[in-house]
Amino acid sequence: MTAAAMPSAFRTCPRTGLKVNATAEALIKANAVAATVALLVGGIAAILVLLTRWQAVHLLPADWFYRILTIHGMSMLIFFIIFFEMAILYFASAVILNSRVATPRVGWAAFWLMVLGALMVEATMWTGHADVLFTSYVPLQATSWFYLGVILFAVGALVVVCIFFGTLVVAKRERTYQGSVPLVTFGAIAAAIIAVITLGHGAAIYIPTYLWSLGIMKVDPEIYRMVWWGLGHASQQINVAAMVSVWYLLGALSVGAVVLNEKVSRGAFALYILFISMASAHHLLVDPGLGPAWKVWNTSYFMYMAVLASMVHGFTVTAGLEVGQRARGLTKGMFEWLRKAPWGDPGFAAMIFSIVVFGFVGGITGVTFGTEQINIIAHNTLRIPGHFHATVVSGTALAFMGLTYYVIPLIFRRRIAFYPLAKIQPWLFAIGMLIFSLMMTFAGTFGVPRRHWDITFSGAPFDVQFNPAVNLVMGLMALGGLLAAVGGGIYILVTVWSVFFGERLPADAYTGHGLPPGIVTPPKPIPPGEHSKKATGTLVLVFVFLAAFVAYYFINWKLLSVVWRIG
Amino acid sequence: MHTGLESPPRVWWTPIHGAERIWVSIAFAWCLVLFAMMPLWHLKGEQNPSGIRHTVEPTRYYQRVQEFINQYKVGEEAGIPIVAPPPGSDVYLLAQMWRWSPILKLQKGVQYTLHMSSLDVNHGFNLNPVNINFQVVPGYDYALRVVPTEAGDFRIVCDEFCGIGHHTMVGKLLVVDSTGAPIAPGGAP
Amino acid sequence: MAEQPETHPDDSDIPLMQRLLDKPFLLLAVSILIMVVFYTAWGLYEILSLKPDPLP
Repeated sequence: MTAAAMPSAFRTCPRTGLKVNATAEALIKANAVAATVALLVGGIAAILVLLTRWQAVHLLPADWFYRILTIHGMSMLIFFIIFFEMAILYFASAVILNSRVATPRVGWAAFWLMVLGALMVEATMWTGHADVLFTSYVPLQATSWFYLGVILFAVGALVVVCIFFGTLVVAKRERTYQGSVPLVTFGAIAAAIIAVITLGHGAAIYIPTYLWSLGIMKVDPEIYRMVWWGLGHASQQINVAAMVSVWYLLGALSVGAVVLNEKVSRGAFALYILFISMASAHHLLVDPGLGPAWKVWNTSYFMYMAVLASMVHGFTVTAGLEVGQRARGLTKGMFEWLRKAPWGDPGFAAMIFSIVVFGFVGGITGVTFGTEQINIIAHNTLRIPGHFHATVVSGTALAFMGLTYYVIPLIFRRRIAFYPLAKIQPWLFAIGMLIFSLMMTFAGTFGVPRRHWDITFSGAPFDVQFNPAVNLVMGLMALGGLLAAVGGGIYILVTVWSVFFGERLPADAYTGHGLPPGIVTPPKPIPPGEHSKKATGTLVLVFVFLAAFVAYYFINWKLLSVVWRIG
Repeated sequence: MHTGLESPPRVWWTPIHGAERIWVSIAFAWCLVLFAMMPLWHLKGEQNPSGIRHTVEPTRYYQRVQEFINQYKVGEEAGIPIVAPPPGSDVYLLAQMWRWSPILKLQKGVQYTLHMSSLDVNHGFNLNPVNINFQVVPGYDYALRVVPTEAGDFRIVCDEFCGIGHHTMVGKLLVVDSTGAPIAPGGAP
Repeated sequence: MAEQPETHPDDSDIPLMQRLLDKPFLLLAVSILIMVVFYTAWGLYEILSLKPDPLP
């Protein structure tokens, strides 16, 4: 065993001064690489699905469409994002806290268990034995190996979450840090706690479903839906908490954004921890198994306290950028701090686009049709994937992409290859996904169904005429998606090339080409003394957001009020 | 001032000031509005997914649908029976891989109790082009009190994946006004 | 922010809310409790207490 692989080996990061444990670093790299492989598979699937829903092309035949759609969902929402989050958990615990990993060998065992589970699931899907879509709603049935693979992956992930908590305990006991953990780590704690809820529900549903697929027990379809969404939506809330954590991290690294008030930011994460998973109920609002009281209470995340949390983070992250920039001299007018921000830094740009698209498109649409009654005009239409491509893709995935541009130099210690391409990558991806999500949402408002191979309904006994605008909208959606795919492809090219062939950085100084500004010219220290906490630019932006929210929300009540009376 | 990557001050539970306080208060108020709207709509609004909900054996439900069809059948189209039930009655819709039956012929402005269930897997009820959506689950009868507010020749599109024939699963629903318009193909009033 | 002088051998001056938020396992426990009670257990109760259809 070389010195570098010994669990107790540390190096000091030249950019942050953190003591980076060698095993933590290796585990971060392994999980990040696995995430990128999954992203590639999911991305290829995305292009194939997109070119099929674009009826002018209609690329795949029906069986392959539903199959590839299943692969797209599992590869992106489970394998890509969870592997990446495992890397974030190791970073937020061991690296930020200058600590060793609690049980490194178990960490590696968990990693390989997750890889095994993922390969099993992919194999069953690609060979056509799991054409059940991401939700695998009982009584649709996949091969038992599918469910077993998911279980193994989930067990591995849960083990890593436990190692995260164990590392927090170790770091505290060994006094590798002082006082409370930094905010970014607290955000990761929020993500980890939600992950326990998620994976607990996953076990509760996939173990019986696995046994059902072996003929050993029955599974009720409505109970399946209720418990499954405790995994399915809660996993998206892990993504929200991780994304917000990454916003604070990227803000810190790229421009030295400050934390305005720890109480407010941590309080918001605490609201996530307590209440955000309840809104798994979003998916059951027009289901027969549950009554209005349950639906209203749960879909409201406890009177919208988790939405309050998101609105708070939208403010505090942005205001932290503004106050930090103003303290460094950018005080002219209301928005000099934003105009003169490093837009050429792909980490910074990704973060801003993530905040804007997640908030304005993802958040507003989601809360609106997560309302019990408004869901009647949204459920199972393209409004649903329109919403979640704005949240988990333009929000979480984009933030993760931005973070990668810091991970490549700081953890992999390589220069970023094709750096000019890297700089525009977040722009292409964000603009593409914005168009894609908006167009998809419009199509859904006209009633276009999700998860549907053919909206010309050839082969159906009756014709269906959508509003003529639908064809145009679907075409624009496809173009937006293709633009985003170019952005995604560049991301994979840049990261894979950099990690395997990129120029290595010297151990002690990060200068020169292929590095984001936040590393080459770290944000100036803020001059000591009192600083204004004025954040008028941010206040203006959040009020614009609120106006959009109020408008969209009440427009939807109006749209609901003109349909048939239902009760 | 410190970043999110750095340790916070020893005591960080401190009062909120200025812009943060303003925003948190306003956002909190908005959240209460969001919450209040749902119970309010149950009281004052005319579209709620409450329904009358029961468990049901799929084969028993299928039987009930057949009885219903036999009782009120007035025609057929594309092999699917058309039924004209009396105003105010319980009407039944069955989802199965891959058809909706029967074709209901309802009257505008009248309330019906529309029962929906599935014989086999999950299906999605989408009334086109009105865009009303409900989940249709095997083993459960979702009975919604509906009042069609417009006459027309509507479609029922399945919007929950239900197997390889999912995209061919389209049904029909007719609503006639007091003059009997629109007339279904085949001339049946 | 200026360094606090190290004259606090105990943490009695740290506000209660701060101490609670510094306890990840407490947060984990409360979080699981709230979810299981309001969503999972109540949801299960709702579904299981549906009555069989009184079809004529």
